[in-house]
Amino acid sequence: MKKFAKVFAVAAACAALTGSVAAFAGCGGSGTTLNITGSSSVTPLMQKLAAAYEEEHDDITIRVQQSDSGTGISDAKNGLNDFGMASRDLKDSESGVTAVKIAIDGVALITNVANTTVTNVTSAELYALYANGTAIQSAITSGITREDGSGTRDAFDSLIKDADGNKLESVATLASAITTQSSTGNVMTAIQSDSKGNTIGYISMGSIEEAKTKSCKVLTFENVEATAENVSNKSYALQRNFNIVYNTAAGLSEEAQAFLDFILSDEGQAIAVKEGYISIA
Amino acid sequence: MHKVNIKKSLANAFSRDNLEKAFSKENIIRAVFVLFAAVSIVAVFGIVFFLLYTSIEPFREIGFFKILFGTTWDLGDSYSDGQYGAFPMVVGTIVLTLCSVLIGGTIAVFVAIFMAYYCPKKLKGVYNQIINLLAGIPSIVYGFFGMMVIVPALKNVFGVSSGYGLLAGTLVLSIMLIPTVASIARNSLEAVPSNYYEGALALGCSKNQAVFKVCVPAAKKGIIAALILGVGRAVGETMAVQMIIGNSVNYYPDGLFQGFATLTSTIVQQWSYASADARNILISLGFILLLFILILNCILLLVRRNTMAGNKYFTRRVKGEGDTIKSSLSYRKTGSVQDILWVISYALAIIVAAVMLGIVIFMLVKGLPHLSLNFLFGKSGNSGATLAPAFVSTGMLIGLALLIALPLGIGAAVYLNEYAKKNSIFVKIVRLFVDTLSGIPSIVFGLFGYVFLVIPMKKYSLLAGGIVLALMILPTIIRSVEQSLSEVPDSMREASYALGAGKFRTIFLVVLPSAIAGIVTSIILSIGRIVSESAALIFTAGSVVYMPGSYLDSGSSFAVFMWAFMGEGLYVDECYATSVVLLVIVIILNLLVTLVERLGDKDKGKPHPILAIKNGWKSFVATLKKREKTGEEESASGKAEVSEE
Repeated sequence: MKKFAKVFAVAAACAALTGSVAAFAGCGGSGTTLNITGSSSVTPLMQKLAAAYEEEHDDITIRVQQSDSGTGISDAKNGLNDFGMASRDLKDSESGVTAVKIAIDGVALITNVANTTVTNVTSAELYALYANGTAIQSAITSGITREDGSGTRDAFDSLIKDADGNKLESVATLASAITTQSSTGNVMTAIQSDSKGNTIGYISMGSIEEAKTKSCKVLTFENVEATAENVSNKSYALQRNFNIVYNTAAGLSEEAQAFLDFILSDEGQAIAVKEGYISIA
Repeated sequence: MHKVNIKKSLANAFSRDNLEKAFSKENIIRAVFVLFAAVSIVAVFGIVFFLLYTSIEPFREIGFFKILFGTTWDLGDSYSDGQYGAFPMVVGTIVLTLCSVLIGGTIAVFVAIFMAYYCPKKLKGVYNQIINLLAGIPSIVYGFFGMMVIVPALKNVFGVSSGYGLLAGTLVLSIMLIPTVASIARNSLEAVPSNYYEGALALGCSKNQAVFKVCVPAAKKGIIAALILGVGRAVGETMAVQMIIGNSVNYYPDGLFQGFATLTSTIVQQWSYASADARNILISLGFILLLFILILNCILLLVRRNTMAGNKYFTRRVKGEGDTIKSSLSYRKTGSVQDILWVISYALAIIVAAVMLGIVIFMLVKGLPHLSLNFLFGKSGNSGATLAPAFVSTGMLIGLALLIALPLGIGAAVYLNEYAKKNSIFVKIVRLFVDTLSGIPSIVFGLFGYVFLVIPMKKYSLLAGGIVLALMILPTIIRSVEQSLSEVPDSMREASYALGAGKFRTIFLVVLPSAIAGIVTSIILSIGRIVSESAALIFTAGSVVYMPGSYLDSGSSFAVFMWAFMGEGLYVDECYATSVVLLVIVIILNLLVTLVERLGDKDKGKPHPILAIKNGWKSFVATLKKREKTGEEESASGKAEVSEE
């Protein structure tokens, strides 16, 4: 029986160790914690906004959990967060939650710098490549798209059409030369490693500066450059909304409302612009 | 009359004798094992029922066969919107799995043979660590390696316009399979009694003939178990695969460079933006995957039974005297085949080591320049993420997951192997589902945790993450330990009983210590799986950049940090730097586990590890006491000298 006593003692020690770790729970800080969950596209911007807000308000900690737009919305519905982040607009089937637009993101077209022939692409050329596999200016033979339902892809698919006005979004099966990557980072990596320069992809505008350091170059779309100004005045058509989402019935807490006000204020919008996104004002 | 009888029988049932009998040590221990096995089994079936339950609605709304055999997939917002034909993905899954198990599995078995029989003794430890290290590299790194090295290389070599597709996927997945299959197969090969090998040599076989004609067939059961786990890993793998197969939905993998999608890659890619209905449909793909693995395992079970019944290696019929001579002559001749196999196993072992080295160099070149002290240990917050919280979170996750899964898994394995009726239908069913579970993509575990832990607790927490991870590693532990237990010769159990030991004493002091290799392998594989997991944790433990305060806080492991750094492509360098840190941690953890294993291995008699620690402690205390004594004597004599002066 002595052995059991020992085993028990070891187990107790383990439990004590766990307990002492748990005891740190109290040290989490005296102030309020805001939990924000959802879209990984919105997360980098949200973190910058949170950092600025925390600096002004010592007693507030903002925990940004990144997962995806869908989870951000379902978390808001289930009361797991103060508000959720979504890089797409709400769907009709998503009831019980309210969305607030906090910024606009442009969608930039990129290729590897190894491609020296193509500098501009048109909507019809993109449609031909993505729907039928026709090479663009005989230099770009394959393309990368984002996964179904992605905010970036929605923007891309709804704006790309052929000469007859057929939209890319009504094409169920893309051409066989099109591959899919599930994040801006992956698209960037795929373009970066494309030393032949025969692949085109599209990414969030907030990541343009980083992409340029990774042997990517940005193309103009219909001869319009992908700049904040052009997105803002709608002359650059490829864009989407960044939203925050909260539970309509429960509403926003006082602290969450204050943070949202900060995001929508001139100061908050200036941060969005600085990070490469576009102000909603 | 009745009442009296009941009273009497009750009194009889609760008599001192009976109570003592019922609560004897043996029975209590047995009950504990049954309990552990039951919890494991409930957990396994819990996941299966979760999948089934969620899938019922989409199957009813759309139709099971429409999903399974439809050829067009176009995700919409609801059941009526969009098209849900998954047949190309099912084909993609089957083809990719077959290709990678065929290639990766073959390589792994040869590597296992190399490790067990040919590896020079001095290199054995190092080579072992190399294989273990492969298990601990997060799948995201394999994905990067595929995208940055393999895909461009294929593109240049074959002159195609895109390198993504079946070939790239097969190559990367094959590398990823190797550690799981090789280390479990090696355990089985090493458990083959040495007299088989010696007997073959004594009969005039060359070493290669002895290895390939006698030892490998003798370890066949274990090798098949290893391959089954490998299939599971191949089917369930998501993060790396979806980066390199192109994910072109609605396409069949009909060319080496045609992009295609698998069930798991579709689930993990389309999950992010899917609406509630669409998510149920994606989970139903998980259920189809489960069915697919279940069928595969059933087939393997039948194949295994047939080959076991008529084992052609040990029941070779000899017809007459002439035949014996003839066959032994041809046997001698076939030696060249084994020599070729020997060369192959050497070559593959070297190639695997080279590939491993390539991946490590790739990580170091990409990550090392971006490592800084501040990035490692600085304060982490919204203005800049550092890895300090990841050290704590990862440690907490490993600790909790192992604390839960090890006793459960080992307990269940002991129950299945020592207590349950051998080869009963119940045991077979449990084994079948355990095997199947190892192939379920981790994102499904994450969702399971999200629904049953996170939503009821109303928060993301490391506790939820740890429990989900424990569930994920449970199959590997049960399978690996059970395999080792079954390889402990019955004669050892019988000898123990003959010496008067009870069942539980036999299990703890004889059987389990002999199966320590399997336990250690399962721990190493589990640690690898835990540190490289991201999909399941994002939905359970969350992904904050803050230091966790307790198990009730959310926290991110290294792999989750890597995933987060990667997301928008803003912190790719940090992602590589994190992978280097993770690599170092995996090396340290693996070394620690091996060290503990050695501790129990030092004596030839292989004492129980607990006994080894106890003995070590005793001798340590004894030397301390000795020192104290001599110290006292010295000081005493010193004093004496002083007083003399």
